[in-house]
Amino acid sequence: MSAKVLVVDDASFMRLNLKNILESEGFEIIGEGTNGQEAIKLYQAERPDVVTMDITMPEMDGLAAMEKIIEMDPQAKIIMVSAMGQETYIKKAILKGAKNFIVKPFKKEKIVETLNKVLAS
Amino acid sequence: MGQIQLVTFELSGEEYGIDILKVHEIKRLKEIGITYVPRAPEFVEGVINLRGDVIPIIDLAKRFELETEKNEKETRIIVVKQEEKYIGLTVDRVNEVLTIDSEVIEDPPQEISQINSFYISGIAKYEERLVIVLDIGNILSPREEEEITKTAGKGRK
Amino acid sequence: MEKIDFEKFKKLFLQEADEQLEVMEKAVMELEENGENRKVIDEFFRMAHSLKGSAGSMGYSAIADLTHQMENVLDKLRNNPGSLNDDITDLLFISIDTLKHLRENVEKDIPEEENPDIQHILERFQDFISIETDGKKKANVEKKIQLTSQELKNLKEKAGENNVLLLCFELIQQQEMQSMMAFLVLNNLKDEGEIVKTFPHHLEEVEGDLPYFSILICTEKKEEDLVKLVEQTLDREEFKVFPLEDIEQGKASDYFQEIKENFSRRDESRDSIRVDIEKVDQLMKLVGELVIDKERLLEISKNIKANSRENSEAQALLQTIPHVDFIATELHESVMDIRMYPVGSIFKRFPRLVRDISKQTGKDIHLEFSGEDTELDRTILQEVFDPLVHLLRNAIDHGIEAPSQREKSGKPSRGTVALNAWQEENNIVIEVKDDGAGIDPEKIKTRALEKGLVTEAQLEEMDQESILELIMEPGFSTSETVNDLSGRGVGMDVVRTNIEKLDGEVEISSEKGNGTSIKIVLPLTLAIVQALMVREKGNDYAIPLSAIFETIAVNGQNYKEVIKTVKNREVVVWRDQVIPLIRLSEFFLLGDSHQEGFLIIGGVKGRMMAIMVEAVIGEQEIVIKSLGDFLGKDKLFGEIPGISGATIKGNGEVALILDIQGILKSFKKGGEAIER
Repeated sequence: MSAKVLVVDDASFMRLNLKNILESEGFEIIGEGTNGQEAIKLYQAERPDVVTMDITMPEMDGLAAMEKIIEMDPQAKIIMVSAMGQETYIKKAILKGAKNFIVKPFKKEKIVETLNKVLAS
Repeated sequence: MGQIQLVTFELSGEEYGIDILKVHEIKRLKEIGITYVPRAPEFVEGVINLRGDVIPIIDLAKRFELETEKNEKETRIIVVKQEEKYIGLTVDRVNEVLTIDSEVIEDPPQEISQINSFYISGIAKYEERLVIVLDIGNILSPREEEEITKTAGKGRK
Repeated sequence: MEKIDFEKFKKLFLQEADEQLEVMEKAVMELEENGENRKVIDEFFRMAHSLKGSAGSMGYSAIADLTHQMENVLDKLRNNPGSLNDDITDLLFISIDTLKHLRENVEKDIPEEENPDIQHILERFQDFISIETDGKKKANVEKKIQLTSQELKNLKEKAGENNVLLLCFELIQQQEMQSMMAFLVLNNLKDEGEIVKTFPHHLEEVEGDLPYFSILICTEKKEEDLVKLVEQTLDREEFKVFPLEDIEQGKASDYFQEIKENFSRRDESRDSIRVDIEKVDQLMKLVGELVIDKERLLEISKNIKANSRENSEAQALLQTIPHVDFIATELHESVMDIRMYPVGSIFKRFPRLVRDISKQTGKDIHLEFSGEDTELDRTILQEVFDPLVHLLRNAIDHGIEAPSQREKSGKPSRGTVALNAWQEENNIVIEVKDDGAGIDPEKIKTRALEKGLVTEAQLEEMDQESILELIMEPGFSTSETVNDLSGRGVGMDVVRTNIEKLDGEVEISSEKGNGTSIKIVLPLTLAIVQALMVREKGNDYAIPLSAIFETIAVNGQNYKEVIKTVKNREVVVWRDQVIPLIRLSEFFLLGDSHQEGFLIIGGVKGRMMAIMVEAVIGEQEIVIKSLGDFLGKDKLFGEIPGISGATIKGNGEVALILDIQGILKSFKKGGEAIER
């Protein structure tokens, strides 16, 4: 069975990009969130195997959403998607339980590899 | 001495001229979206995109502290080039390109115009007309002290 | 030889000689600084040898003779470790200078017989070669992983039932944020046992030139369990595990050394081509245009989406546009990367300079570097060279005391000047630091008063930092004597002006008696950044994402929760911090603010604020257009706090770029704080 992924990013291009990459690698995209609030709702409803979470988003940012999700489900596997220079956030995210991170712009292989590693853990 | 070509325009009822060699192009005000620059001196209308460069637009009447009523239809922006920088000047109306002998241009007398002689490089008397030739460099020089206080004061409650 | 061929050979000879001389010069400085080192001597020897060869075959006998003697003395050094002394290094320096002179003469076609007499130099070489020397070999091995015997003993005691393991990581696949990867690994390991030590101590140092680190852990777990755990984040080939015995026997350390060398070799052996920088700049400009058009395409695609669901052509277009977007972004990254240069490329020009200045001033200076591989946009790097030279001169000339003076104050007679570079968020910091006398604030005050730069009353109000910053005011110069070292009339004000032109800042800190640190804080790149577009009173503004932590929507429901009033000022409580609220419309004097909208939480290290805007439009890439011609003191617009530049939106109109740091600064000064 293919792994279920929730993609959270406010930029539609980024979501599309991730979706294309992941679907071509046999992942199943079970939802796309455009902000933290949506991410939490979608997580509750769909219980994905893994979440890719953008950091900077309107309404509620990825960091806050990640914290909420981990509160709900301590086993949640969340990969932070970050821009260059957001080290401080990544650090916080790791401390709060993010499983891994990807730096934008990313290569296809990198994201697939990271997802597989996180799913295997 | 040779001839000089002036782009002439109107501002608050007086006729002015700029050396054509300084003029880069003339645009209609309506054609462009001006972006307001907060806390800039009052005579700065804003900035525009001129083929990839960001250039300021200066309201010449306000720069000269003249009263003027704009008729947007006729308002033009004269884009001038000064020391490799482009700057747009809004004027009430562009008249024509005037070719005159450089000798016709006289030094400006003190009280010839409503505007500060600091901005004037000379006066061209041509037929019955009096064209005030502007010193672009001085127009574009930094804002003076008084203007700083004026703009700062604008915002205080 | 045919004339034409000769010219061709000569050109080649000169070109090679330049390279050889550079390596030799570097080598002799290395020897002077760090003592004997077989590798350096070998390389030096090789260069002298090849220069001798080519000079001989071209008939440049003076060069050939001199290099021959250098070869001899170097060979001697090889065979008699420990015989290096200052006289030899001095002589080698003189020789290199002479070689440079001779090389100039070759270029100018000055006949051999008109060359300066080098006989006396050759004789001095003879003296050395005939003297038998001996001495002790200096140990000069840098080991990254080293535990003291005490530490080892403690570890063994602690070990008992537990496993003491050293995990060595080499982040070969991670392109960026290696430090965060290191942090992630460490975080995953921390519950598995006690982390005894990490190398480097601060994992933040794990970047680019140091893509490897080690963790020493004392754990109840088995080795293979830890391996499995690490494999959740890294590939097996990216790390190696050593038990305590291996650490004791130095095997771990050897391994570390090996990967370090491997890495630098890999670095050197990369294939490269030379490209005219103008071509790169042109490419950059074109990429900038492409990015603007790309944003325009994205905007158009939004409209198409709504209008034409059935039109298959339109749908095809919609699928292509994101790809164009992606490619434009990648292309931009790649071009930016070409423009990035290590700061080491200018650092390497300093040892010679420092050596010369110290000789002239009679001061003994040790020059240290760190972060040479920190990369910076080439244009910025070029502009930063002169200011750095000036800062270095100041440090040596005015900072470091004379050796006797230093001894009196209980310092080592040799002064240290350090050039450090590192990345701090989206900035590159280059620091010139000395352990000299420091700056005396009292002297600055007196001087500033004398020069009429400030009034007594103003001084009263100023904090330490602002007082130190006075030395960057035009017309200020603390030098008692004017000499050719500090360059007459060129002072710290020029340094500051030059750095500010690059959108950078100069920060001074100093402790009287203990030295001075001057930091140049520069933007990483000038060209394109990721930004959040916001709207206020009909105007769009771009805020670089690097400055933003979070955006919060404010509406009638949560207004009272989010925005509070403390001492008549509006504040926002954000993640347990109370931070000031700045309403953009009020800050920019655009009119009254509103009750609903968005709070942009932004700022730098500990100095945060919330900016209230009407609407958030979205993230996009922006091409930064400088307003430097118009913005700033004595310019057309004057100084406008809060605006750092402009960009062109997808629709062709201009949006201003907000300068969060500037808004904060202006707020900090209190001048524009909005009282409510």
